[in-house]
Amino acid sequence: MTVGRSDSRAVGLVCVGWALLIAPPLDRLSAQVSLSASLGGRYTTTLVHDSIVAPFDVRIGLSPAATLAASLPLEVPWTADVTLDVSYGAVSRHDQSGTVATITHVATLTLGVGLRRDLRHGFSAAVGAGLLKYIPSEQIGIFRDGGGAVTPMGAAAVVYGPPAAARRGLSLEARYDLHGFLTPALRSEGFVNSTVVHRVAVAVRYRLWSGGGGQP
Amino acid sequence: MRHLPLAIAVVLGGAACHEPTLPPNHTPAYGFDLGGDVFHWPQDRLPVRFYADSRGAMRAYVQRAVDLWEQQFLYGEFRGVLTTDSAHVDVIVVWAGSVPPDVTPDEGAPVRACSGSTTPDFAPSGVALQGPFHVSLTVLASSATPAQLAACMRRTVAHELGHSLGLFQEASDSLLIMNFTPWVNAPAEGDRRTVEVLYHTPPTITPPPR
Repeated sequence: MTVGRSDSRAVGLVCVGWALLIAPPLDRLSAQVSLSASLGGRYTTTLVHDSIVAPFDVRIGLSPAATLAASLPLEVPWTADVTLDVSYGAVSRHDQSGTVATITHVATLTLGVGLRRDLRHGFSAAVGAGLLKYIPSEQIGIFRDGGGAVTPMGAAAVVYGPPAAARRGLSLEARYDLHGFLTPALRSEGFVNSTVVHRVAVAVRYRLWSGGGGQP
Repeated sequence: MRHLPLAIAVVLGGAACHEPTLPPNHTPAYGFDLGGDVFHWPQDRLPVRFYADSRGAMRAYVQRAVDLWEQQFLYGEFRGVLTTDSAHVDVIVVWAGSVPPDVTPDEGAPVRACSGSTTPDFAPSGVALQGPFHVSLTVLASSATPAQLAACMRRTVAHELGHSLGLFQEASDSLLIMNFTPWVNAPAEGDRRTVEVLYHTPPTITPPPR
């Protein structure tokens, strides 16, 4: 599957549909929505694998990741989440010889919606989908013609909040997502298919505000 | 509500259906070695420092050429920077004789109104450079207009800087910037493939000390 604007539109429609589906009347929203933020680190798999004389990979290094999430309780034990996630890291070429050459830096911005289910013992699990955009710090190398189109992504997460920490609004979160990566520069170079990129983030989540009167 | 997990699974499944990326073909369009020896600027020497004659439009031509060559690379293999200090540079670009007028280059049919040369400064061993590359541009006697001369200088600077990057051979294809006489304004796909391969080939010629 090649990522294109039509895919982005399709996922956009899905997101809007979900939003309409799960949205209760506005007056109920402010009373129930809770906001949380998380900060952690993210690992990203290879963006590009190429071979010029010898094979090499282009990867984003371990990078900080921050997420802002708005959560709306649905029927117990379900919760709907809208998340805004950003991470920023160096994009580097990793040669077989062990040489690492930085190409540029890139921010990755995602907007997602998800459905979370509370489990036992302080765990909850979520799945979702969203849109992802690469925003390079400069137009060079694989980003010389920009970061490419907005890309659909799928996501899953597990949250663990032990009782003592949960009382303080803290929990531990592991997030996973995948998307297709292909920039205009890679396309003009002759790349046809996008690379499936997997990302894993581990973060500490803090509940900033609870409309239902919970812990701050 | 109970259909939401299914919808999510469908989206996840769609995102996972990408095929593996197929690497493009990287075949050089012409040779780049000098009698079997290869030179390119190593990663730890980037950005390569260029000095341009301050007279006329030379700085603009060199800056444009550096930008053009940088844009040929996908993976951060080359970077250049224009400096004002000629004492500590890797490539020096000067006018050999008269300085042509600084006018807007003519975008019409190319006219051979100038020439250029690039001289690497080899150590006696022949496999090491001991000083910066010297690039010079010369105005040829012709009936070219100042704008045609400016266009010739602009593309010839791009050609000569290609030599300073390590493209030591000329291309036979007249649509490539590294053709013996450059007729095009910028590096083409064949130039890009060639310089990419060059910068992934282990060099046998070491750069000059800094």
